[in-house]
Amino acid sequence: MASEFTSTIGQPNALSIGFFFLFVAFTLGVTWWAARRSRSAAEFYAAGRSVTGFQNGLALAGDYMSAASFLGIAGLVALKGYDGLIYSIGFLVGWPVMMFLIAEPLRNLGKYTFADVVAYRLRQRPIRVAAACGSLMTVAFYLIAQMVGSGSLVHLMFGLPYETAVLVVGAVMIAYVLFGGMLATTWVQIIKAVLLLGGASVMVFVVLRHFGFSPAELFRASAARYGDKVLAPGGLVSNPWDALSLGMALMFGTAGLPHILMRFYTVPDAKAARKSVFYATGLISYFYVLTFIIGFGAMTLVGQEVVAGFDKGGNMAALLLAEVTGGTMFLGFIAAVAFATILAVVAGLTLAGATTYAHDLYANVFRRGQSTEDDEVRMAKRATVALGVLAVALGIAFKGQNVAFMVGLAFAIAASANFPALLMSILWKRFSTFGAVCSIATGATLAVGLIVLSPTVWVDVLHSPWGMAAPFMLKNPALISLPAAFAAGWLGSVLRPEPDAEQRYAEQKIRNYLGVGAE
Amino acid sequence: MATISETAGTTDMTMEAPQTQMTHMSHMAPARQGTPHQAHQAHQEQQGYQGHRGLRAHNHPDEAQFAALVRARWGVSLTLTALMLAIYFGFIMVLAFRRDLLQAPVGGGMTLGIPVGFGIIVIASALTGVYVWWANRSYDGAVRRIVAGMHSGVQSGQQTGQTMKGAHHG
Repeated sequence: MASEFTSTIGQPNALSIGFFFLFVAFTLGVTWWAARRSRSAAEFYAAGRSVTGFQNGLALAGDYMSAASFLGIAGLVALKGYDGLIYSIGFLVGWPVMMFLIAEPLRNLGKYTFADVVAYRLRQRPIRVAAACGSLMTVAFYLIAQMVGSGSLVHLMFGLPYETAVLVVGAVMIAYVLFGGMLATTWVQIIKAVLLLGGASVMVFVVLRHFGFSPAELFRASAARYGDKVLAPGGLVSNPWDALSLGMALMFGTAGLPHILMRFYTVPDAKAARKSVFYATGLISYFYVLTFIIGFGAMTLVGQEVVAGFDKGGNMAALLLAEVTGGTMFLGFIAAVAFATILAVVAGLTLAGATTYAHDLYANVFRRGQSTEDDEVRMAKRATVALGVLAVALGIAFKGQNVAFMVGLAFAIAASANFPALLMSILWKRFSTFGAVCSIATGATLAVGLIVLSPTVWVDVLHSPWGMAAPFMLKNPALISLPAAFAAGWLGSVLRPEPDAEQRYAEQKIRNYLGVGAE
Repeated sequence: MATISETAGTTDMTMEAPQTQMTHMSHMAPARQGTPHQAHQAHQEQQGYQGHRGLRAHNHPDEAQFAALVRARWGVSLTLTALMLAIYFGFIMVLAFRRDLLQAPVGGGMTLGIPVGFGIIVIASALTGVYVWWANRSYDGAVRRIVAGMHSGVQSGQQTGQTMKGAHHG
């Protein structure tokens, strides 16, 4: 089948462009509806806390099911088989951990950002500055990776020039966030999550129909063609230290991603926050099972040679499979959904960055908490435009660069700079301002510093300057930077204790565990 | 993880008596005039958030009940976290050191790795289900009882009744 198959991928496809315009028109309609409900700060940042647990579960899942995980993991499975599943599992296990450790305290103690929680009983300005640095770095690296990925994907899918694709993504995304705030961003995310899960489910149904609805039959056919090795772990996890370090970044980084944490403020209370993680975990699990089957479907029905021929990383596997199983129409639909996915994810990231700037830096640092709500929202909107423009500029600047490491780096910073400070502020009475600043600074510096010295950047991006081997052996720094951030937080708190903050811990606990006084 | 659970435990034990705190607070108040924290407090109040101070002073949960609630919460959370960590890192270690175990064929042309991988995905979701089930069944009820106890305390007290009610559902 594969040999005689010619794809229309990469040519402008009227159907996919039509689907895409339909999606953009519909979501801009939603934005228009949301605009009238996005005036106050609580509305702009947190959708007026009106989102239900199930809706937020869908939106959280939407934030996580990026184009990279849909197209990337399906491609990884198509080319490497089982190893793709290991990757999915790593991204999934952070969710239960986030629920057990962070979700409810975050909702009860904070208002719009995770810095609210860290700063709850500590000194505002140092904490806000440090936490904003951690947040903005996480958002920036994640955003660059998404923008560069979107440019190349759209170029591959539609044959649109890279720069045009990045510009379209930037412009539509700014419109969502600027006019519709969190409410529009949430609904865009929900619509996209439903389309993506629906589209992927249909694709799996069609694939399995080829194999008498037996996944085992599909796996057998794949093994018959490419050998038993595709059904068993290969070389993805060879160095246990590397695996452990990446595992830590994924496991604890999820609980430190600002655009994910921010979603917990959109629900009315801690009970809904808890419920939303349950739904999100279930939906993401289902999605990863689907991508695994889609990957094997592409391997068997499209063929590894064809998949690798279109894109070395295998990113076109899911789209090729859509074309083989459902023709140009289905390809158009899935391509439009992939484009929509990119839009929704960058919108969430931009909103998180704008909120960090306006709420943490502008309101609590520059204006020392004396600004009005209107000022804050105005600043958030300006920051949205600035971040959107910056994202487009960076997306174009990094064209053709190897940015794959940036997602791993974003997770490493989230796990090292954001997560330890957040957890310690919730659990440790004697955590002090100095300790928190030490923890965030140590985590962020080590995460960035070590990744530059690691094979990921030193060899793959910088091509071994001065002919030196990478000075740091691990591909991901979390194994060192995360424990170091906890140690720095402890040491800083012991060196400069804060009796005032210790006294306020009793009050923080009442709000944390009983929800009394929560926003 | 053990250190965290110890931390949670010790903080319960060292929770100070309400009276001591009040005295401290009134001493501290003038010194903290105009500090950023104060500003933040003002900022929050301006946005309709209120009741914190009054709450700390007069409205305390039953200490024993509250300590038990916090202990139970972290007991369950940390057990589930440890379970998730053990399963995931156990899987990673098997991949690193005994990959051949997962390459073993099971019935139907599949390898052991496939059911194990799907199993971990299912368990991750199931653990969140267990937590939600526990919290809905046990934690929420305990919170309601403790908060109700705080309420009745308020009604018997005289001056701050108004602020209290505001505080509960702010």
